[in-house]
Amino acid sequence: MPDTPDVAELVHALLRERSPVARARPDLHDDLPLGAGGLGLDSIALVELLLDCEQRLGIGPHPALLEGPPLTVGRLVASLASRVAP
Amino acid sequence: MSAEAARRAFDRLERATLGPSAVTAPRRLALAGLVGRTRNALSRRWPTADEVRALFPELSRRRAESCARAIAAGAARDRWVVATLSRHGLDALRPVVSASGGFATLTGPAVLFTFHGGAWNALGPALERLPGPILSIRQDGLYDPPPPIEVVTTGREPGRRAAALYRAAAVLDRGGLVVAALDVRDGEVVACRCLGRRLEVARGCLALSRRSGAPLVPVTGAWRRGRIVVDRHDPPIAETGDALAADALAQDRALGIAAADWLERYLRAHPAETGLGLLRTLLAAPAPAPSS
Repeated sequence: MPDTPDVAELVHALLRERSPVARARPDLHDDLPLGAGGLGLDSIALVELLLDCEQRLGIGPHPALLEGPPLTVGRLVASLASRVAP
Repeated sequence: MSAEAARRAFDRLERATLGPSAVTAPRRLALAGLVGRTRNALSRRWPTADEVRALFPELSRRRAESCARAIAAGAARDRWVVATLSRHGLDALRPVVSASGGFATLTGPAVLFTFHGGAWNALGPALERLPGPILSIRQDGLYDPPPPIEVVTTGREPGRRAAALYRAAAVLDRGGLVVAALDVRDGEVVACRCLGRRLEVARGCLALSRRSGAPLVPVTGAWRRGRIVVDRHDPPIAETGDALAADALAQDRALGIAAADWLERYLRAHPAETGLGLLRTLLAAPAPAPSS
């Protein structure tokens, strides 16, 4: 199973596929918002990103993930990593 | 009597149909419709016959006037449904709602889409009899439904829209049903044509259907002889042609166009089911983009 660094690589790779803003940045730091004010993913792109990540990692959804503050790169990576079986 | 005084008088009459009283729910619903129809007959507005003919030019003047009265009656009945649900929940609505045989046999996973017309706010008593889980996505809440229905509201906020779609994906993954209105201009939309006008179709449910493979099924709540009949319409919406090989946005756009085409066929067959708000939206919309 992927460890935390591999989860981050997966997230960064998928972000660069979906976001022109992400492709233009040399790094994607943890505090970067995924939506408005950051990478600019709209609601559909954001949800598809989450679903793709979870599908690749073989984990199920975590509905509470989007019910708090706006999601950042770091919070997404941390959430996914915590749900990947050791 | 001035127009403003008349409006207030009709508003009071509508409020009077909400109860409490010994009058049964079907009768109060019928009374609400009568108030709406009468209001239109006297004012010749909301909508006007000309507005109806702008969308349905095939209607004669007389038919358009009759249709305008029916649309006004439907609008008043819908206001009754909304007020009744807000005050009393589903209990008060159950006596007036029935489901067709086709609707009653619905199973998931499926994305059920409706539109702002007919008795679109009154699907709850039919939905609650279906196997769950069932997630209804709305902009604003009306009432707290009993299981297996759960309502999630978007409040026109991008973050809440994303959360609603994410939860909906999870419901579909569990074999459930997702219900939403498609003619919502909030958030990500695809521009389509309906009745010769531009109609923006919410992209979220289209994307859910595309991604999960769950069929996109039109459902309606129609006013029938003073009651509400909830129905499903087969076959499910499907994109056709080259879009099958195209990117996600193109596929969603193709689904949206197919859904708008279905809506146009339905409304041409049942023009009186056009919601007053939808009618105004279509009339106010900018000219549609040229066909490609």
